[in-house]
Amino acid sequence: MNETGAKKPAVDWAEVRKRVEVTRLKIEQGWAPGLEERKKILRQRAAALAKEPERIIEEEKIEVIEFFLTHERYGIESSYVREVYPLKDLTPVPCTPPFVLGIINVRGRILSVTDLKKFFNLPEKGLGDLNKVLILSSDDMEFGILADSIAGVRTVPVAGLQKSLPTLTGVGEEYLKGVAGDGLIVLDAGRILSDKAIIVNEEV
Amino acid sequence: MLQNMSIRARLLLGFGIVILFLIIVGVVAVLNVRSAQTVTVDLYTHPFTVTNSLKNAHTHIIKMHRGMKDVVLSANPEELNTTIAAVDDSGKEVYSNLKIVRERYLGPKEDVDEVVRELEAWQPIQREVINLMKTNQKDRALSVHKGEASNNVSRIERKMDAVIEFAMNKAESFYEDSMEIEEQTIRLLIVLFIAAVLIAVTVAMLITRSITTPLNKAVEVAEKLALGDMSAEIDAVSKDETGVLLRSMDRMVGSLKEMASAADKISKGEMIVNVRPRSEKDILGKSMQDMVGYLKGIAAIAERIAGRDLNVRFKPLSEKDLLGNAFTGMIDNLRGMTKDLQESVNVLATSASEILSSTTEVASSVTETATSVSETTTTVEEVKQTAQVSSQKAQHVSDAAQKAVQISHSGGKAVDDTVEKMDRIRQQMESVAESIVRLSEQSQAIGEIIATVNDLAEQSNLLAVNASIEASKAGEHGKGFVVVAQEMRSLAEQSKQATAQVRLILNEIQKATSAAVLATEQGSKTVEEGMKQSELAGDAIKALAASITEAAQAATQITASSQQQLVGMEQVISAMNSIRLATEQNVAGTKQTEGAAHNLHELGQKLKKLVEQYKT
Repeated sequence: MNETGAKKPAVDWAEVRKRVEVTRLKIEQGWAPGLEERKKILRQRAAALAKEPERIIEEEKIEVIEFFLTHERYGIESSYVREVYPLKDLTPVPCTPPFVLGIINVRGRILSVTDLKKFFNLPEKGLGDLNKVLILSSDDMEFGILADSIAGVRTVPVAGLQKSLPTLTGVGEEYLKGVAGDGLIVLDAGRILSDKAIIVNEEV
Repeated sequence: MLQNMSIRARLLLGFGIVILFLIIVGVVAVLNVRSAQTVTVDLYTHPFTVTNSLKNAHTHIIKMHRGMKDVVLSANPEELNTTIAAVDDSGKEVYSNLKIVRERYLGPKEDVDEVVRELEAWQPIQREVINLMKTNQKDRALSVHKGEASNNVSRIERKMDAVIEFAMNKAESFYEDSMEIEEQTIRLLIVLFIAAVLIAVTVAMLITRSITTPLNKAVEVAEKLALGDMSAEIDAVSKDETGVLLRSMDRMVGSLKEMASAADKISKGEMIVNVRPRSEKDILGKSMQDMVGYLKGIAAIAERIAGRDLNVRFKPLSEKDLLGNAFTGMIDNLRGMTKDLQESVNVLATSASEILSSTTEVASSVTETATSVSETTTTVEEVKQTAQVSSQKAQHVSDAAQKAVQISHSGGKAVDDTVEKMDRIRQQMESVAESIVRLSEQSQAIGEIIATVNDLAEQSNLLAVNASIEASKAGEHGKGFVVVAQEMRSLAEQSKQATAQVRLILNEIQKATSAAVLATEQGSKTVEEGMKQSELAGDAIKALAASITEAAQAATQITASSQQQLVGMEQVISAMNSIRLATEQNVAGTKQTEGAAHNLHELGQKLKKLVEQYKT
């Protein structure tokens, strides 16, 4: 026993006890930030508020909801989006085209859910979460489209939109509003909503 | 006298006597039967005839009397005449019967004459009655008839009764006579019969005895002969067939006695007997002669063998000749044996000379041994001193072993304590492992809470997006709200990141916990191994203690043995001295043995010469 002790330093139990006690105290304090932490946060916020706001250039802008669909960023005009909703209780419907995944119940309203990848004939690449639904609506049409995740809301200057790109494939020009400078593909929701192809009327 | 008759004559005589008596008895019986017959005839002829005639006469008299009554009662003369004629006929019958009576009557004839006189007296009365009837004087006739005639008839009947009585008496006397004759005859026959039986028995016994006595003697002699007893004496006197038989047997016994005496002599080894056969067919005599010849031949050969000549040849009479075959075998065996003996004696003689030379060598080596023994005695003295030193050393070893026993006992106790401590360590390790497992389970609970928080953050994010959508729809009035919504979104993002960090930390904790569990498990195993090792060490120390105890005992025994060894060495020294003395005696003894071997050698030479005398 003595020999092993000489080879390897014995555990400093006092030190261990101290560390455990510190941890215990920290946990008991809860997740409330400490005094230093609080000051730091406040300083950051002050810095952010003190920053000079960007000069607002008077140009035409549109507000878009930005979302991800298999590594690609898409945008859609927020005026057509009624709300975003987590995908829950999807019921598949038989005798429908492949792009119609099924129907969901959103607060009492039954809406169809469309997979844009299949609708645009985009290649199936990798796996996504596909757990969010953007509910598009116009005066005479309402349905949900599937998204991996919602990135947020941003404004895009209309002048910055480029009409199509030679690298862009799949999405027909008729559904495209343009591509923003940072590669955001802005879809024309008005066209999609008014497209006859999306209306399914099949009798069996 | 009987002995001199032949058996045939004797038997004839005996049976003749018996037959003679039979004839006598028969004749007497016949004669007596004849006389009895005569008496019976008399009995029949006399009284029977007389009484018959008298009875007939009486009947006719009664008929006459009744006829006379009819006469008296007759009505007419015709009837009278017929009745008278019947009375006359009856009268004639009466006379003729009375005549027979008179002839045969054995009593006095006057009795019969009186009856006749009375009859004659009745006749005038009858005539008077008839005359009276003829003259029709019936009443007088009736009175005469009832008076005189009846009296007369009754007188006649009385006389006749007397005659019948006499005749009956006479018959009785005849009967008695005949009975007497019968009795006499039976008595005479019984006497004669008994006499005949006695004589027949006597004769039969005499004849039987005269035949069986000599035969019994012959049987007795034959029985004795059958049992081999020759002492039977036979003296035959009679001249009949049994005498002849006994004399033949006597001759046979004589001849057998002669043979027996000859055989007795042969059995005693006397061969000078001369047996002559009595006839051509005397097989026994011839066999005796042959046997004597055979034995003489064998004796001659035996004599030659006695004279050391083994070159004789004997031919057995047949394959079943036991003596001959045995004799031939014996001669062959003797010949073989003598040859073997010669060879053996040769070997013996050679061996004796070899023994002689060996003994000489032994004598010299014994002298050398004596010298060696004195050297050994000196060596043993030195060994004794060495044994003393080793005894002292053994004492030291014994003391050291006792100390070692005590130390090993304390070592065993220390190991037991170690095992106990190790067990406690094991228990503590187990509680540590359990605490760690609990920690791990609690961190899992934290993970679940974090998942919930993450979900909340996600939902907050969505809410923020929806809020901004609604704000943008509100136009200019909603601009402020857009900022708030963005702020909410950024908060949600931060929450998500924080949860991701917590998840990472939880993973780290989980890894650390697993490592701790592993370490504890290994520690526990190590402690168990340590326990096993300690137990092994304890066992080893106990075994060591036992061995050391044994060693201590062994050392004590060695000490005792060394002491005994010392004593033993003393004894060895005295024994060596005895051996030295014995060796000196051995030297003397060996010299004597040498002389004996020399004698043996000479004996062998002598035997060799003796055996060579046999001719083979």
